[in-house]
Amino acid sequence: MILIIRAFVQILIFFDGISFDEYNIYKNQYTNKIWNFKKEAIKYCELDCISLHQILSKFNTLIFNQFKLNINNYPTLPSLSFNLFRTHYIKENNVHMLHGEIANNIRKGYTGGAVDMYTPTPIGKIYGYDVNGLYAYVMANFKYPIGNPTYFEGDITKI
Amino acid sequence: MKNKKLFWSNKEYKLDSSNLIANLFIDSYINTFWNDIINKLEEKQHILLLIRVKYTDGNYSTIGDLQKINKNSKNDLVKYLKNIINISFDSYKDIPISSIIFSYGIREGLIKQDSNIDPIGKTTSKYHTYYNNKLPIASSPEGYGKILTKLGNIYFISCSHSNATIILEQNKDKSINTIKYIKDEKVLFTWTDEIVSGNRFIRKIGKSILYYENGELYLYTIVKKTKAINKKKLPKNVKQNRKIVTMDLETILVNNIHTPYLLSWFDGKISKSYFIKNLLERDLENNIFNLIKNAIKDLNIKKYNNYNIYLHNFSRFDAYFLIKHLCKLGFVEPIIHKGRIIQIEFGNNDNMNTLYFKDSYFLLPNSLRKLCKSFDIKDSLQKGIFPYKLYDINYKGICPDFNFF
Repeated sequence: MILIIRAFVQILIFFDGISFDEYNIYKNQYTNKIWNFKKEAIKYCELDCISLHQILSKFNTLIFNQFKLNINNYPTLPSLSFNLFRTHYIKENNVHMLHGEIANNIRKGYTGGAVDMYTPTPIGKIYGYDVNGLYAYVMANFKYPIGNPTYFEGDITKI
Repeated sequence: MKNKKLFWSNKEYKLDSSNLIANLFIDSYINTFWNDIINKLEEKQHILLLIRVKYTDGNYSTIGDLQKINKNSKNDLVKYLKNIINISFDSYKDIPISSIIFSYGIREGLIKQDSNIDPIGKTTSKYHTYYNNKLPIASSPEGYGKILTKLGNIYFISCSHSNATIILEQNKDKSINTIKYIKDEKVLFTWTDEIVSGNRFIRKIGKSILYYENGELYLYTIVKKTKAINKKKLPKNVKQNRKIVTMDLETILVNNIHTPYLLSWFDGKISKSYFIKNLLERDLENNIFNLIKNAIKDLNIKKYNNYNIYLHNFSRFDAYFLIKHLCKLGFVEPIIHKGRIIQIEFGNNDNMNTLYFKDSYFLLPNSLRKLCKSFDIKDSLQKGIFPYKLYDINYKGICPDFNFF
């Protein structure tokens, strides 16, 4: 019983992304041929570089043609997209940066909600929802406070 | 006793670390000051106090006015100072403070009430205090003071309590009063009072808006100046930068340690590879160094000046092997953000060429195999497969077993 489990685990480990079919196609290239580690490693590594170059060139051209920005100037995807927004979409004097005392005071107003874990006991189907894009969704569809912040004392609801 | 009247001292508290002007620290310094000085006062003494802060750039500012206070009004003072800081220190909030200075003089006798400690926004009965001026609170021209003369809808009014003259212009339906406040032959302030209903009006002055009902302030707002994120302009004649070299480093486990044995790069046309001499333990480090040295020698030429060398998952993996040896080959300037190596700038003293090592995973955060599919790369140029678990770099023979992949 233990042996069977071990064998099963080993297959899972060695599997590592490629399927048996892929392997067989690969293996068939070497029938009656010697497989040389150095030669194959260089071939594989260079192919890695070539495919990465292809991807980056395509991405570079895509971004440049669409937005006239060079990907080389931005180290990360968020910095690229932020600069893309700043060059093409942001309105003048619209979104303000808050820092220092003002930002600290506003941040004090935020707190996290309750986070709980439940053991579900399903009655019928369970639906799983991926909420990765929640931020983007809210930013796109709901109002967002912009402009200069206003400090107030007194009853703001009376405005 | 007469000597004591002239007595003024300074007590300076240096901040341990430079701090922005914030509510938090005021409390503790007032406490310290109280302990150091004020608690030692005799029963029937009061103190004149002026609080200043020194900024790291050498400037000073005074927090509020000169205060005449008794021993027991610490809490009121703290409240007052906090209000002042909140409202009037916009422009200084970004400059750190290096010390706080209490200038004080001890005087005989007690103060009847601490009239100076008057929170901003709340007015002393019928006046609105604005930059040390007492502005009248009123919704009809008569309320501002004594009407001297009237020309159509323009009133000339004298405010006796502040020796000021007011020119008030009323609009047609008498709902908006536009006021010029004149003192010492100068127009000091201009504001508008908009009457919303019989007993309510809204005063707009400077950046502040004040809401009054029955002569009482019920809401005070002030717009805080902040910087907008400005639009970026595209430079004219912007050209696409195609200076991209891709690089990959293969490693093998030697004694359970990842050891680089192969480095390849591709510039769009030519690719080159560098294979390790051997994996013998005695000169392993030297062999790795030579491998990287040879690669850099070929890349650090004029043709590749200012090129960006992209490696996939560079910051988490390849960077650690490379940076160690790059340091020995020239000068290295890494950009590290939150513990991740974002970029390594590499240069050599032999020539003035610069290379930038970057991580393509930051731009395209996915596996190479998946990216190939997403970007529709030709089958023949797609990422291949390799037996990662084969640890013999000298292997020659039949195609390795599936288990090695």
